[in-house]
Amino acid sequence: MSFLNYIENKIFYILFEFTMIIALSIMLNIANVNSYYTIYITALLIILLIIYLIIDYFLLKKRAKKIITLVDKLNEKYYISEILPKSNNLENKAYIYALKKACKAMNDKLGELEQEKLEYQEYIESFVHEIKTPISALSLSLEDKKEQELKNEVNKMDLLVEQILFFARSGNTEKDYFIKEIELSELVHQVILKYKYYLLNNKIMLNIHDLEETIYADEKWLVFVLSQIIQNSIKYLDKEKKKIEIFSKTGNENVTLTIKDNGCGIKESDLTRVFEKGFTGSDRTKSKSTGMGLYISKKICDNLGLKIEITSTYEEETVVKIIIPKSNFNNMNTK
Amino acid sequence: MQVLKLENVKKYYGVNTNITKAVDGVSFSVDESEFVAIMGASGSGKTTLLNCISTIDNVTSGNIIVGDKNITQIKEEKLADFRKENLGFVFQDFNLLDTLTIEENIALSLIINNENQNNIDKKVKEIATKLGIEDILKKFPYEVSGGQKQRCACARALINKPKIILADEPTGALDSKASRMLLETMSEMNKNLKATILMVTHDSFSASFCQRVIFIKDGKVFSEILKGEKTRKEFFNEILDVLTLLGGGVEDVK
Amino acid sequence: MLSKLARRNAKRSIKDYVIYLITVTLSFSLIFAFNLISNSKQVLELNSTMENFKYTMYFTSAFIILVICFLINYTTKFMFQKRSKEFGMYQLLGIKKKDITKMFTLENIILGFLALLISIPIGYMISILMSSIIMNIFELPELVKIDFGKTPILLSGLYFIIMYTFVLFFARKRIKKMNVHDLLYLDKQNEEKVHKKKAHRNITFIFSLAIGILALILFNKQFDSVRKEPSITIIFVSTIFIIISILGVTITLSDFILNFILKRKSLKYKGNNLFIARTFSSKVKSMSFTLGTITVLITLTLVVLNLSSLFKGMFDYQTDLSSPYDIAIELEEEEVNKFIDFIEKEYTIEEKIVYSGYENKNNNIKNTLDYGWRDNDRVVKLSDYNKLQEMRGSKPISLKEDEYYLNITKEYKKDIDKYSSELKEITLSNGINLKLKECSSNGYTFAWGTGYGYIAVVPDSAIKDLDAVETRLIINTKEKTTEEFAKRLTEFYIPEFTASAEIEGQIVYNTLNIEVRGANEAMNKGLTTITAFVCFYLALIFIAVVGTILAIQSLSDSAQYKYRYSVLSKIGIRERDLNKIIFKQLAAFFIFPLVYPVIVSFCTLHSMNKVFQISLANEYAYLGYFFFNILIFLIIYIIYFLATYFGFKRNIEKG
Repeated sequence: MSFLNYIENKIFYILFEFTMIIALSIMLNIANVNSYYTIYITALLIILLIIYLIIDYFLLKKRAKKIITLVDKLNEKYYISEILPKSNNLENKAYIYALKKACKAMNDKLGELEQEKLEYQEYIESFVHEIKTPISALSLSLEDKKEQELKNEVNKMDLLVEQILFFARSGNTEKDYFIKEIELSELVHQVILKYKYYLLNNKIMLNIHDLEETIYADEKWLVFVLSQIIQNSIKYLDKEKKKIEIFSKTGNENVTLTIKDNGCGIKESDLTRVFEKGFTGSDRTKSKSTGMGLYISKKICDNLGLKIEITSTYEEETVVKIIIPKSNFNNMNTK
Repeated sequence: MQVLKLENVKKYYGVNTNITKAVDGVSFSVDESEFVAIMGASGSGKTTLLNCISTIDNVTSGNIIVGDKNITQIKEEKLADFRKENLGFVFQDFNLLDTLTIEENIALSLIINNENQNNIDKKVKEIATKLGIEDILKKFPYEVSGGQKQRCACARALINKPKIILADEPTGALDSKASRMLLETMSEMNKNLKATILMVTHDSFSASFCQRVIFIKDGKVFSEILKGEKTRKEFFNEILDVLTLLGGGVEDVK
Repeated sequence: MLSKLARRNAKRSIKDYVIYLITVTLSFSLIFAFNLISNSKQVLELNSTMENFKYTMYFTSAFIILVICFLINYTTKFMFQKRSKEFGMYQLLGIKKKDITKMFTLENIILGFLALLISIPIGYMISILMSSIIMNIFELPELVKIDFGKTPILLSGLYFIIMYTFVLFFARKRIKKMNVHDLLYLDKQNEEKVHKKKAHRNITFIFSLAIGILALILFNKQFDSVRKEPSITIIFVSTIFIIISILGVTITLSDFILNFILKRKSLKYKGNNLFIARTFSSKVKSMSFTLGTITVLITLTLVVLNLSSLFKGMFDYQTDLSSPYDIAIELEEEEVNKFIDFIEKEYTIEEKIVYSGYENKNNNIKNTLDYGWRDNDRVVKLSDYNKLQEMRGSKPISLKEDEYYLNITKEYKKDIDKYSSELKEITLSNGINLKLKECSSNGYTFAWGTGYGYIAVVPDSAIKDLDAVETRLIINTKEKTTEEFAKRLTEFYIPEFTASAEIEGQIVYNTLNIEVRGANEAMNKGLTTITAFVCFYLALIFIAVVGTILAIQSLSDSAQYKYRYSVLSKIGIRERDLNKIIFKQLAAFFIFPLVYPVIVSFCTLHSMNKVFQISLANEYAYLGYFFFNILIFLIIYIIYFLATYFGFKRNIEKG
């Protein structure tokens, strides 16, 4: 607010004051008061008025600036009404009252939505728990049988159920992580074990090397991400000789875990969109998934402070890199 | 009959841009004639919670219903009247006005509710006798012990028959003997006079006198336990167990 | 490092003690303004009386300095108490007591010096205002220019040094005495309430009241008669008694009021009376001596204001009384023309009269009324008297052949009943009998001469065979006469006429012989100016000091006892009602020290009026003065009250 603006706002008051001062000096003149007095008094009143206006302006400006800075710096701006300084001005009080009521109404709504989301999540968790029972029962009963197809399908069901659980929880990784020291080779072996049937059945050649590195991360989340990547690789391997290569490289600040496959690759134009929710590729015939795997993985990596990168040569190979910061106890972003 | 109900109450505040989430989604309810404790460490948000229930502070979101009125909807000017007619207070200290006698302090509640002047003395005597302080009525607060002061505060809180009495660490400034006396008094108030009391405390001993204990951690309800048929000592031990859980690195236990 | 701490503390103190600083600045400004005026050559040369202005001001300033010293001392002690925890903390941290003293001293000097600096431009502006008032009084058209001389600034500096030396000396002694424990727990120590035994209190109250009444009666007796000189000793004693009475009453009265309220249920349980009464009485008890001092100061202020009004009224009236005519001279018949020539050289004579006083050897009137030095009775012709009345714009009178008329001073009017029998009918030395038509005190003026305090008017025929023993020349000039002319006229008069009285070996020129209005007016203006300025100076400073102390006390309470209002708010008192409580509380606190002074000042005024009324326009004029002075007092007092109220409210709201 510039000084001109301020004057504009107060123009009626200023005019009124001036009129009064002029009227006073005229009356003094008529009353034959010594002109020295009249000038003295008029000048004094005008000077005092100007001083008052200037001081008032600066104080007003300071207060206004404080409020604006406060709002700008605030991250969760919808809590502004809780930290606004009080005001004794009648009009300001009304505005603050309106703001408070508005913020409360909105925050109430937010709370409602959060509550719904929480319920939804809880329902999913309980659903997953429930459904794991029949799946394991199924799996168990198929164990001795040779129905590989059935076994595969049951496996698929299990993985999908796991995926949904991780999706439901992926928003709040901060509530559910446990950092510990992990040997990369151990990690990769865990994942490979899960998919051993697939790998064997599809005669996929695994090349695993340079995994002696130790990192600090949350094991289960990392396992999940790795699983998704392996799953994708398995899905899209199309050559005669199917190859998957997994290795790691240690840099100054990071450890990079690379998963390379010689599958059908990803089109250049699709590369930037692979992490989008529900993206299954521009080639409709090739879509075999719900498009959620990479989306969830990216979300989890973001939350855990890890980087995930995909490069690919179409129809040749796909390379997925997970970059893990070295010995850095995580720059967890809170969402 | 439900006397108090909290629905997803949140209170955030801050100076400058540091927002403190003092109460972060608390829901519970209190029925008539219940004696409930809210426990939590310092900084867990329990005093803020009590301030919101007392209408001294506004909530950021959520609803608080006392009796059948949603106090978050009451206009600022009417809040004082609401407090006057429906709530009773016992704080940790500075409960009583130092310039008035004990008798006058108790009577204050009645005076501001425009009680008939002829009834005031009688009612004060009655409640004072019930709480065992009738012999210090003419004394000044600085002349009586801490325990007696708190019992006077209880008398003042009770005398207007409020819907619920809110106590904030009432035994905080008392020694163990006085604490015990006060808690037994409050227990009697609850049992014999059917007073509904919500007490905020960090002291397990005090909480063990209640029928229900709600645990608050980081602004959220962590746990809730009921006394049921247990003895006070058994209940006390149960409370300690929960506190151990509360205090000792729960995040590390998956 | 310490200076930084001191500076930062000074900055913080400014916020807390704004009222105190404003009062100190105002006081310094006034002192400076008065120094400027009283040292200004032009002002002092306005007339001969104004020469005394300078010295009157010095004396008054000395007195003012004492009072301001009291204020600054009180506030520093207060500030020290409020921050005792802070000082205790400093000592705990290892800062030596010596350094703490230095820091505290530095803080106060910074604040005081700031006040001094600001006071100079403000004081200058005030002095301009004052000089214009003076010009107005002297009816001069131009504004007198006030020199910004060295003396006033040096004087202000000197006063500042004296004041602060005293104050800080006492502060240092206080700090030296304190140890860490005392400092940290100083505020807790104050919580011990002193409850006097009921019996003691009753006795003190009755005794104080009785002594107060006794003092007022004694005081009143001193002014019973105009002739008796009031005994200074008794006035002094009654003053002491009144001060004791004020202190005693202040200490005990609040308890009585409290008990009165407590005994009546209808009062006790009504609204917020209980809280206000209890808080008020506890507050008064905790500072009863200070409050007593304040009450004494207020009494002093009101009495001084009343006195000044009385004097001003007297001066105004006296001028009128002694100089209704421009020039009045008593002389020998032969000299008349010489004087007329002398006067005509300077002025245009509009009207004149030469008349005689005729000797009445029977001394009827002198034997009764005349306490003056005339050796015999004199009477005046009716025609002369009527001309005299006409010359001053009054109505002539009429007399029957056997009537006479007495016009006397108000002083005599009181005693006239005693002598009514003797004066009802008199026989002059020429054998003529006259009956008293009327004895009036309206419009009597000493300018008429003849009797001392009276003029006896007889019908023209009644002066047969009486000798003319006195000739008077009375002139009204077109232009205004001046004090300077009066001097020259007197010099012209004295070498010629050696008729003077020899009293106790000294030759005294009878001032009744020459009256020049200009001279009287000049003296009046001078005296008016001096008394008015001195009185308002004192009054303003006193009221400011009183207001400041009350304000500081209340505001510090609002910080210390904030929790009381928080409790009230929590048990359900509306904000609006809380504000009402604060208002009533503060009002009681500010009004309490007013009650006794108003009563005392009215009584003393009433007593003094018995003597002054003769010199005043009428006997009820003093009531007007009384209310006017109270009004002036209240205007300033209420400003302090409002500042306190809003500051108090703000402090409570912040919580």
